[in-house]
Amino acid sequence: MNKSNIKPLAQQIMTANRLKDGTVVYFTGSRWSTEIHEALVSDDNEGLEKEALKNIENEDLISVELIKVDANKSQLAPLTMREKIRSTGPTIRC
Amino acid sequence: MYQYDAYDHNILAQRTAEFRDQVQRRLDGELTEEEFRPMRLANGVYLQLHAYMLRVAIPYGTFTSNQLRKFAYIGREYDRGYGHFTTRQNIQFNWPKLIDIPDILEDLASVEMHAIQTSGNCIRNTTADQLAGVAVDEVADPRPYAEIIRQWSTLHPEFANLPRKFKIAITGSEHDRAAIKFHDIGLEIKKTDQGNIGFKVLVGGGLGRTPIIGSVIKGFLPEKHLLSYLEAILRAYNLDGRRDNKYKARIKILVLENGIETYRETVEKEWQEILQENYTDLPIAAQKLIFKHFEPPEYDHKPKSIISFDDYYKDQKDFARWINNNMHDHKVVGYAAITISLKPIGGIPGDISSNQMDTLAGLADIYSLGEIRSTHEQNLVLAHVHKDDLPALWRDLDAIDLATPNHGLVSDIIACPGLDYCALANARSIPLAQEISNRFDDPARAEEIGELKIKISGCINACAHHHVGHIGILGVDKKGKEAYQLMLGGSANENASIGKITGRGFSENEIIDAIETVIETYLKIRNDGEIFIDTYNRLGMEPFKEVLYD
Repeated sequence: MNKSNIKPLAQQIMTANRLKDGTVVYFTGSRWSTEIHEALVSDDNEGLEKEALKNIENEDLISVELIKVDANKSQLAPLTMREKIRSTGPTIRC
Repeated sequence: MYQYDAYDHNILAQRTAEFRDQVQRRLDGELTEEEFRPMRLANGVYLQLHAYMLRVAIPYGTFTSNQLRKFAYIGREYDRGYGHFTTRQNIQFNWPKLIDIPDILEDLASVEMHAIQTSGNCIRNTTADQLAGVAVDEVADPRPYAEIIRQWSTLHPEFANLPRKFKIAITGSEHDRAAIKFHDIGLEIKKTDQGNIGFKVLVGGGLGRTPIIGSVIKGFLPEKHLLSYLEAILRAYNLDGRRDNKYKARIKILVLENGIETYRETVEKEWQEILQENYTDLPIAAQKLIFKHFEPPEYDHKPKSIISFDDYYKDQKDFARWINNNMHDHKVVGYAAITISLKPIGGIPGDISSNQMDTLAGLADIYSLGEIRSTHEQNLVLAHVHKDDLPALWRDLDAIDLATPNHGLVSDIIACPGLDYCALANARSIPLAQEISNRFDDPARAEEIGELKIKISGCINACAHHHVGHIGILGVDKKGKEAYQLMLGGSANENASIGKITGRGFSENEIIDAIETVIETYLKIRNDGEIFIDTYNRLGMEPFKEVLYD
């Protein structure tokens, strides 16, 4: 059987930094949390972005972006090292 | 040291009040992020991965014990109990809250410090030789000139929106400890046989994605024309520098594309026009006033310690090691300058805790006229220590883990914040520095290796100057994984050279072994008396390549 050329859509979450202190936060579907494991995972990028942006106004967020994650693991894991470090803090200090 | 006058204080007070208002308007939603971003950057406030970062300028790397105490306070009160000294002699705080930054700026202003022009496309902090004023090989102290440049460039209306950032470095010695060949403008003080002071002026040096050694644009610029000539260079760059592509916007690209001869002609024409405008380079009275701040201090020739240096040197192996590696000759007999390494074995290059800062401020008061220097190699210097006080100073520094005897050795590594903090980085730098430091933790082995400059950048922007490391390491992103390119043969001093890539890169797990292989190979093939860069210059890349990719 031929392999399909269509790649499955990457699963993504929305992240941002809080304006007042720069803290990294993730969109849960209804609010923004500092815990990545509470993030809403979706392969509907447009829908996720739209929903998250609706919830920005009261939150004072900056640097809002979609990031790719692996949601099949027991814990939600960002795919890039940058986002892994962003979610856990510097690897050299707590 | 320079002390602010009423004019300086007034500028800072106004600027701090202005930024407080801007922050409030942003928090109230009156300013969008797009509108606010250039305002915060103009005050040294970046957004990093986890938090804001505040970069504080340390003009030509010289500061007082009271200013260090203020850094300690800011670290403790608003940050996480530490600060980070950078490769441009500045200090950064990695965790301030935006809402606190106006208060921090007010605290800084109270000790005559600020964060203006530590970001953005303007003239940044002028850096200088950390041994300025005390180096035995010095023609003249570069700090008064750096201060003149600071006053000229601060809020200079014509140069507030250059094509790209602009960095100036100055040295008073032929032996270059300030990496002047890798700055947009590099200045070396020269003296004629008749005793006239002037400058050799270099232009168009830099690192980043296009590393270039600066070219001499003027062999001898008389002292009195310093500002008019700098003005001419900046005007020519401001007019002709590229604004269509940020990666080609630095002055080095303009000089490269036009050639130094053409650029020199343009600057010369501009300069002549400026001189005809009756441009006042610097009023003599103001110049005299600035120089007065940098007159040599009154050295007290009575030691404060009763321990005999000679006995201590003989009996205390660790003290002797520290003296051999971290002490520098001083132009005043009986005195020495000391490098305080911010590279403890396994530590984070450039980091210092608030507690260490507080204690060090006290030690600077006791032993070094209350003055501290920061270096572009991310260390500190006490520049005025009576030699008989060295045993006591060493014991006091050792008590706060600031007596690591590794200046210029394998573990004295420059590393940028890398992917642990920086939003631009592709890979981590600090953990690599820590691993190398731990791998070479035996001080006897480090001394056997001799002088070795290792520099690690987490991206091509080269904040850690990896191109000019004897061993340079560049972190890259290889399909989502950190990988590291290895370079050999760079040098930032008067014999400037740009390192060459060894070949294919190395994974995170391979890179430390690769560095050890390079060092072990050098030890096998070096001639007597050679340091690493000598061996590389004699034999080239081949012997290292052979073993790395065997």
